[in-house]
Amino acid sequence: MERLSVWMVDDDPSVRDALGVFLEIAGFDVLAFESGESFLACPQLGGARPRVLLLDQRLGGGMSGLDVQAELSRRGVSIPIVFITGHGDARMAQAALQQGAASFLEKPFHHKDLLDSIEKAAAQGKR
Amino acid sequence: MNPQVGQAQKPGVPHSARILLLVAGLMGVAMYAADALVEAALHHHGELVDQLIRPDSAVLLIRLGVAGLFLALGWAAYLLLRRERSSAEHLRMAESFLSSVVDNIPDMVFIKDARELRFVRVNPAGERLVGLSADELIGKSDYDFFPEAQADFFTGTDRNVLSSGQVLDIPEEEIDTRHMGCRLLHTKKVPILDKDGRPAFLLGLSEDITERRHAEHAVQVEKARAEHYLEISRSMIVGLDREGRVNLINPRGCEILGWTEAEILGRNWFDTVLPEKIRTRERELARDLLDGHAAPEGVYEGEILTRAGQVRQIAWNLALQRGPKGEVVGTLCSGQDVTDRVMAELAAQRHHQELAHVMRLSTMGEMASGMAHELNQPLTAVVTYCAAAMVLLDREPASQEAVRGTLEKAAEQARRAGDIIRRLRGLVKKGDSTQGLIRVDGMITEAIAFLEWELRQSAIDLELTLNGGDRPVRADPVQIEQVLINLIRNGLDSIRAGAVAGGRIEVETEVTDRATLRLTVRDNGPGIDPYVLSRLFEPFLTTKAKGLGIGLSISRSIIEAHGGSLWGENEPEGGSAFGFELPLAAEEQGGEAERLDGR
Repeated sequence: MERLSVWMVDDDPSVRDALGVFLEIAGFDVLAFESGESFLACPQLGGARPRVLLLDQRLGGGMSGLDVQAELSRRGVSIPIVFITGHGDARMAQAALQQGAASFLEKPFHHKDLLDSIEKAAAQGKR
Repeated sequence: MNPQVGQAQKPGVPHSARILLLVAGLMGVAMYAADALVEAALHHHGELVDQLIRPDSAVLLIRLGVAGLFLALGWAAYLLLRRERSSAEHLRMAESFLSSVVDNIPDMVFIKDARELRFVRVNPAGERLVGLSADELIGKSDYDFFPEAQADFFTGTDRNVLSSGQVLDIPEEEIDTRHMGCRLLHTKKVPILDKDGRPAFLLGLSEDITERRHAEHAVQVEKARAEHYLEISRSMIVGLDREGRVNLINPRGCEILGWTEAEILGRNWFDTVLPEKIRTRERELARDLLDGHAAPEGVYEGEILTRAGQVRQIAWNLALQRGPKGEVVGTLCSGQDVTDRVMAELAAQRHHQELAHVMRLSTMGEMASGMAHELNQPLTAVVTYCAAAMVLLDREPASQEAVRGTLEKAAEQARRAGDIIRRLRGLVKKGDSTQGLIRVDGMITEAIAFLEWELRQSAIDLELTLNGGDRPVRADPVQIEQVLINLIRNGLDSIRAGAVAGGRIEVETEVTDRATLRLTVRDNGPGIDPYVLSRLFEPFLTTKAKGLGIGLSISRSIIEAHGGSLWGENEPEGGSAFGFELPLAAEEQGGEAERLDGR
């Protein structure tokens, strides 16, 4: 069975590591980026596209999660996005949903919710 | 000085008496020769030489008898004359001696006749005093020279003395003199009686006491002035003898203490007025002062107890009381009641602590979302690691190693979350102001931990150049950390507000040659608006949407309360710089720093 490819952008190394460990165990191919810039600069973005993108709203450096989302739609790249937000970023998450994000999760989240969200996003991508 | 005082002549035989004796001798010889001549002519016809040298023995006897008689008469006359001359000489000498005595008395001596009170005699001191010569005075009365009121007084007292026959002492009388204006005299008047007991003369002795009276008056004025000063002084003034007994206190002192002057004088100051806990210390201080081991310098603040048992805070200036030979006989203390000032300072300090707390809360509010996000990171990691561990456990066969590794990572992230919570609590906690010895360099590293996320979020580079060294400052660590965070956040906000790319904050510490620690925080933001710059430390002036505007104002009052200064300015090459200087703690207290450094 083909493993689903999940990419993630989060500036916190421990979060990247934890999600990486869990998603690998849960049976996904994982690719992690520490900033929006490094993700957008990834050459594979144009070809073997990830099936689902886990995108943190607050990122170190210049770009936020919303900026990355806007850039993707500007480039016409369509990837189902699961938005991850910190506490109190609910309004931002609403904006993300309106711009086409599949769902959003508020940190810290239950792993079942994470798996559900990824499944839902992957299904959306197949459509 | 006195022309009338002559050399008294030596007592001896007057010249005339010697001539008389010589004449008597010559007359004796002449009588002898004349008789010899007559005898020769009458009886022996020219036998003159025989008659002169070899007369009859009877004739010779007669001749010698007559000559001897003349000689004896002459001798007697000489003796009589000599005695007479000698007694007159003695009388004259005695008179001259008395005159000399009178003339040399440095006070005025005058004699008036008893009947008309005209001057009979005045000595040179008297002439000089009234400015009139004896020639002018003698034969005249007081009315010829002095104003009527004075003359009335002089003659009135003269008459009293003469009629009573008693000596009169006039302690003070005024006299208008010719050259020295009005003088004050102390006069004694003595009646001089004739041999029948009737007053013949009036003797007066007058001492010029003008200078002495003036000096006495000056002393009295000085004393009155000193008493006046003591009276109106708003300081309490207390004198203590060597044993610590109160020997002087002014009305203000009595007012503060609640004792009357009569009650407190003679009491032991230390036992009566000082709180028990500082008695020994104060006694030692007083002893050191009295023994010359310490100089009475500077202002010394200490507590006293009023009679009603209230504690007052007094700022003392000390001086020494000295005796006539310059020996230290006690201490003199001038004290200001500074109780109200000290209370106001305490109230201001409390107020200041409350404001500082408000600022911490406000800072915390501004930082809360950042902190919450930061807390969410480890929590997310924990939850996710745990989920991974559970999935691993469900597998057959379960890999113990993999589960353990994952759980260890989870535990580590949970600890990280705990650290964040602890830091947050440290920031919110009000805490009492406790001074300790702190090293600012170490404190900066801690303060940065609060701001790391925000700095990273805004992609601001932080550069630390810490040369604060080992010398600590004495300060309240919570408050100083507050100031540090405030200054760095200001730089951060400024860079964010200016949307500066490549934001940079430099934090620098150094020890100055003024024995202070100097901290500077520089940013490359847009700098401070000139209007704001002039009112930088005004409370509630803010350029930030969410700021309270009390950060710099409180930061400055915190630093000033620690004896330092805080400033803010624009850098010539752009951006702004804020900094403070705090005095370094004294060297010998360095050991204590080890204990408090880590906080």
